[in-house]
Amino acid sequence: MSTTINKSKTVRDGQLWRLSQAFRHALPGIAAVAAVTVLGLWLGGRADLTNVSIAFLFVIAVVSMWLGYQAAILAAIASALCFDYFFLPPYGSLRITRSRDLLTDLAMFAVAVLVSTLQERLRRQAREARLSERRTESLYSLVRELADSSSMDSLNIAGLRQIESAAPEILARVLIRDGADRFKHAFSSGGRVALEGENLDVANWAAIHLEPAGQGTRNLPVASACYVPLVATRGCVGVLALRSRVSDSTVAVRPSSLIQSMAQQMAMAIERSLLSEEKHAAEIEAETERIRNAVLSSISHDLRTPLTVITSASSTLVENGDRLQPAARAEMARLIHDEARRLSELLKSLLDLTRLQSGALGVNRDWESLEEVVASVLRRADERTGLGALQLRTHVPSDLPLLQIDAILIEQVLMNLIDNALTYSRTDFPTEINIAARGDRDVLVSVIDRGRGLPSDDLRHIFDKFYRSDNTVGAGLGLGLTLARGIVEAHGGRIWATHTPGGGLTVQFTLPITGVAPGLLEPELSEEGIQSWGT
Amino acid sequence: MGDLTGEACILAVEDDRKILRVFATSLEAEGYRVVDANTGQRAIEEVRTRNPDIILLDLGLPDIDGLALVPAIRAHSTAPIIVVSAREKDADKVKALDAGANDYLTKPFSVPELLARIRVAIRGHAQVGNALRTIVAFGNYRLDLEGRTLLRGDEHVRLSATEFKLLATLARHPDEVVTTHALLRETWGSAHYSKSGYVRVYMHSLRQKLESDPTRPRYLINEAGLGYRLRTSE
Repeated sequence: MSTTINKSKTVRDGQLWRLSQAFRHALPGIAAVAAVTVLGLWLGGRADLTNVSIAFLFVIAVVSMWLGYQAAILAAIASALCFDYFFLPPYGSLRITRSRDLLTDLAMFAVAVLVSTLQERLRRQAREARLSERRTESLYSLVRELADSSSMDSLNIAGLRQIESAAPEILARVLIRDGADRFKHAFSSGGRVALEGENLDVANWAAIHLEPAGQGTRNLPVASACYVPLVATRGCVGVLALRSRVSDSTVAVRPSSLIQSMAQQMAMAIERSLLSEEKHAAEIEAETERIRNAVLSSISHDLRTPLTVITSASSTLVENGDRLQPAARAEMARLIHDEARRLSELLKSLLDLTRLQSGALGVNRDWESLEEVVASVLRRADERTGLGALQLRTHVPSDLPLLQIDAILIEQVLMNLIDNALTYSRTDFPTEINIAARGDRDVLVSVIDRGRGLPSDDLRHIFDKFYRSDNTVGAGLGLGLTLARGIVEAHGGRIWATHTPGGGLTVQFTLPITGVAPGLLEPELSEEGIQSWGT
Repeated sequence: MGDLTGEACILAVEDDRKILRVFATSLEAEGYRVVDANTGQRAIEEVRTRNPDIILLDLGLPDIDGLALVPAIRAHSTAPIIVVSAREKDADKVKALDAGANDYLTKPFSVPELLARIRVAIRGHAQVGNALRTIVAFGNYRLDLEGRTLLRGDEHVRLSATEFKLLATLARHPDEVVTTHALLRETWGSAHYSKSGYVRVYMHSLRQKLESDPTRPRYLINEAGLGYRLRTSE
């Protein structure tokens, strides 16, 4: 339907062939005329010319209806000749002596032309109806497929499949254009393909001029394919490349009106998909912006408090240092020191969180001992003012297996949990760190405080970024727990919070036991003098 | 030692003026003499001409990678090098320690922390002069490197060969960080990083024998991501 035959064969051959075809087609008509002639002669038709001429007209009408225009004319010629020769006197001659006999001959031609023309028109209308039905069907299934496609890839593949099933002789591709109006990649009905083999200059011409170019068009027809621009409301979103399935085919591919309509549908679908991608990107951008604003307001609040203390305390020292009592001076210095430390911790959490989320904070797993991690945490806690060792009670079994973890990160998790616990717990009840292996599945770490605890609603949210319970006292960016969750999950573990029986908050996390941990290499030969050592 | 008055000379290699100011003020208050260098180039010159007793080296310098500076300084001086760097550069710290640095400090740090490290470094360096010390004491333990014995008070502590090697390696650098890498090399003769789990296993069994509370060790101190130090002074 979208192809025409190149007239490369010799015109003569074609015409002869067509003529012989026409004769073969008309043969049944001629035979029917011969039969009527024989029958008419046998029944004594020469005496009843009216009925004979009606019989000839009937045959012509039938032939016209079934065999088409050419056969009808041939049958009319044969009928006129037979009627004149066999039935009209003088018999055995084609000479016509009466004018009404000529009228009969003319009527035969008139019937042939009239009936076959009417019939031809009917046939054409039926064909057109069939075509338009197929076209509607193709377009309908294209639109349905496009609507079902969720991604750019599936949309292009589905669209191309529909085009190729509507025009099986054609191989179709879509060339996708990027924002800078360059072709990025292409889709075939099988999936994403390279741009190789495409005539990009011609495709570009089509995209710029918004009309088909290349083979089978008026523009740059020497190209190896036909390029149909996919034009949507915002302009050209891509180019449809059509080429023949048969290599070095003599048949030029040309964009039929059906394919152009399909291209139109695809263009609109691609544009819809682009718009939804842009909308999604805009939503992410808005979410990022929202988080950024939350960070900014949270940071500016949490940073301002220690900064205010530092600024006022240090300015007191600078301006009035001489007049202050030594105890007051020490007090100011101590305040500056504590608040600077707090700022530093805050900043570290913030940096770690940023890096954890961007994937820049690498997890360096190694066989590590939780005992050592706890020891580090306790030492760090001791170094801080106010967080005395007395307030922490630990239970770490001595047969705990080594774990494949990043010791520095897990130390950070514990440190954050303990910071929280010590901030909220009551000084007369120590905070506990309990570690226990659960079979050979995982290790459970619990940090238990006996502070005021949190409402049940908050338990689910305390690991969310910038979540702050109404119970939160003092400063503290809601980052420590978010960071803890990020690190634990990066290790394949889980973290959650529950109420401590009798009041307070318990935060627990697991670390999976993976692989076979190294053990002691030799039997414990506990010799005081060790012979094997040295050299 | 490089000074007639006997006060120790500290070379602070640091490109931030304000941090240098604080170093100088607090160290001079403690009776040290402070020389500063704000580039790697100047640092090497100062090492050559002033022969400092201690070098504080910030790894983030404008002209030279701090890591490359460690061997360059070692070519001229045996003075203890204390590496100063930001927390996220742990890998650099290990490299610096393996390249010949003696200790490290993580920014931000307090001045008392800095002074403690300097005191340890000076004492350690002085002890190198006594060559192979055979007895190392920590708490009420006495480790005899020559006789290969460990005494708690008067009582022998039974150690396996590997445990003893580990402890001896730490004891030869008292109060300094010994990297996991170095412990592997000294104890097993090979330094495959993949074997670091064995160091943890044996350190665990050493802590079980030596420490009253292994989660609050007093002597065998773990430095996460770096290695271990044997604390001989409280």
